[in-house]
Amino acid sequence: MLVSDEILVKKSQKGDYPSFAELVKRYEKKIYNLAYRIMGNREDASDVLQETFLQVFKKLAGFKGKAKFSTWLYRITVNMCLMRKRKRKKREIVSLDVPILTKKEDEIKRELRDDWSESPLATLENKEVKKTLSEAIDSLPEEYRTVFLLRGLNGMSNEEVAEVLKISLPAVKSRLHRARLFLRDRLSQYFQ
Amino acid sequence: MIDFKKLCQLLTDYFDEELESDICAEIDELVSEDFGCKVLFNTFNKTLQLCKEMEEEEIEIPEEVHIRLYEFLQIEIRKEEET
Repeated sequence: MLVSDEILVKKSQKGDYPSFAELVKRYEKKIYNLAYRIMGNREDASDVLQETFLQVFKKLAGFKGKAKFSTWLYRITVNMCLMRKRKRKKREIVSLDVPILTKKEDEIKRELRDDWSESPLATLENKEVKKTLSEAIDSLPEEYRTVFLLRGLNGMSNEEVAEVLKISLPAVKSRLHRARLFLRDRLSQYFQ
Repeated sequence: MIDFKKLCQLLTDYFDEELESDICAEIDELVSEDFGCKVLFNTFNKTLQLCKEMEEEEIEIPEEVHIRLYEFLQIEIRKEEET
């Protein structure tokens, strides 16, 4: 039977290193994937992976268990990624109101051309579609991308994402929705 | 009454199954009758499907990264034990 995270955390807090190793084993792939999607490259993802688990190791004694361990872990990962990005200032800071992403609902036009969703080309096996989607996700402003990735990549509920990012539930829903509209728009442009 | 603009606002809630059934039925009816709404609805749905497929493509941790992580943590744990 699988030992719960809670038990492993409690054992780890008492200095049981095999339990800590089990937690690392359980989550390393998820953390690596999340870091890779946020950072966009393997090198940074590897560094974030190490830094995250080091932080977890150092702070575990103070973890009270008010949130789920996974929520706490993802919050550390996201913070590590965002700190790293801010330090580099690779990406310009984009205001949430800038309309690059955020074609608002009332700005979306009716499309009277063909419905591309039925196109046989609308598949990830089509490398251009995959590239278009991937680039569109990468171009999402940070606040939107993080919500989108957490929601999708780790199968979290809106409530969990809100808890990880310490933002309101309506903010999660709004960012997720606008991110999805933006991605649809980008794919529509590709199929034009 | 749901129109094109309202549909734009409700799509995520619809596909995340967070809408009441009567609103869903109204959307279904609109989509079946209005071509523009149908295109928006279908392409939004297709976008979600493509995103889901992409999210399911897990990236494997390179072996050397995995090894480096464990070596790194062992060193840190040893340091902790010594203090």
